[in-house]
Amino acid sequence: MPSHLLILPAHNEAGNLPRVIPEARAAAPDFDMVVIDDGSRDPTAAVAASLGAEVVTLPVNLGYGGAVQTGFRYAVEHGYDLAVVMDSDGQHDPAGIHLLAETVLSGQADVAIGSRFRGRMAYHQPWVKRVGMRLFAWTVSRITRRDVTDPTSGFQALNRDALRFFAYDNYPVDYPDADTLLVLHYAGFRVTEAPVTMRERLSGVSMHSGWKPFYYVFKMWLAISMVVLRERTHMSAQRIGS
Amino acid sequence: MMAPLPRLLVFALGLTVLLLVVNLVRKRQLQERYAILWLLAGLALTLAPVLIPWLDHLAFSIGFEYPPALLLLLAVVGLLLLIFQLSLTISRSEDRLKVLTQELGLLRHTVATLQREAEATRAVDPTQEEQAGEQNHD
Repeated sequence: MPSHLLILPAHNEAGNLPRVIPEARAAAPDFDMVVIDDGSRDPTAAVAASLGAEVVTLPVNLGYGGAVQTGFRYAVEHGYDLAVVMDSDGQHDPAGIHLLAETVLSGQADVAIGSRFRGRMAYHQPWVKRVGMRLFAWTVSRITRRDVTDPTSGFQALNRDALRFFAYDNYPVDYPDADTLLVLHYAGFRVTEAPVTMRERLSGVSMHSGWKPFYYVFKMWLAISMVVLRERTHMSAQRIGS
Repeated sequence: MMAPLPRLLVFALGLTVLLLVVNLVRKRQLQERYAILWLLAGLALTLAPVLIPWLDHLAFSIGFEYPPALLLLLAVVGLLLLIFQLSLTISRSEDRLKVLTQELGLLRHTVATLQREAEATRAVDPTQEEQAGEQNHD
C-alpha cells in the first residue's frame, strides 16, 4: 500500500497553521501530515495537534534544514514511499502538492522542485535575494546542464531513495537550497521542476527579513562552492536501496 | 633588553596560566586535548624572559626593523590557532546536537503515540487496568 507524507516544518507558526493545515488537507486528503515544530516559543505544537496533525517537537531550534531533515527521518522510519515538503507559513499554495507528487510518482524524477518562476508569482522579495537567486539559478543550471529557474524553493517532493539519501547525511542544517540540488545532481538523482504558486506569507516573520538577505546570499555562495569542491565525495556517496 | 620588573611579571603570568590549566585538567573541568595549546601558551610566557632576547636577535636577522613586531605576530598566530580549534569544536558539537535533537523529537513522538495506544486499549478493556492496579499494590 503506497503511502504519502506531507512534511510541514514550522517555527513559531501557531498563527498560520489554522489556515494552512485545513487547506493542505483539503488539497491532499490522501496524504498523512507531520508538523515538525522546530523549537517554537509559541503554541505551534499544540495548535498543530488540535488540528489533527502528527507533531514532532524539537526541544531546541535547529533551523529550517534541521527541521526538514527530521521530517525525512520520520518518513523513512515510518516507511513512506513519497514525501512532500511545504512551508507552514502559507507561502506555498497546497494546490501544488499533487502536481509535485505526480511528477515523482510517474517516475519522471527522484525529486520534484516547485518553481514559482514557472508557475504564478504573487509575491514580493528583497532585491538582494532576487539578484542572488538569479545567480544561483544560473550557476546550478550551468553545472547540472538543466534549466533550473528556482533553486531556492522549499516546496519539494522526494521519492524513497532521495529521502533515505537525505535522512541521515548529505543535508545542510540551515538553508537546504541550491547547494542541495547540486548534491543531488552529483549523487546521480534526477531533479525536475514543476510550476507552483507562491504567495506572501500569512503572518509572522520570514527567515529572510532585515539584513538576512545579505547573509543568505553570501552563505549560499560559500555552500555552492563547497559542494563543487566536494564533487567526488558526493558522486561516490552511497545510494542505499538503489 | 627587558627591565627586571616586566620580566618577572611575564614569568609570573606564565606560571599562573600553567598552574591554572594543570589544576583544571586535574579537576576534569578542562579536557586534555584543549589544554595542550593553553599549556604551550603558558610555557611560552614563562620562558619569555629567556626567549625574548633570542627572539629579538632572530627578528633583526630576518629583517624586522622593530623586533617586538615578531613577538606580536607570533602571539597573534598562537591566539588564532586557539580560536580556530574552538570553531572546529563548535562545528562538531553542533553536528552532534542536531542528531540528538532530531532523535529526541522523534522518540518523544513515538512515546506519545504508544501512550495514546495504551490508553485506548485500557479504555476498551477495563480489566487490564485493574490488573495493572493490583500489580502496583504488591
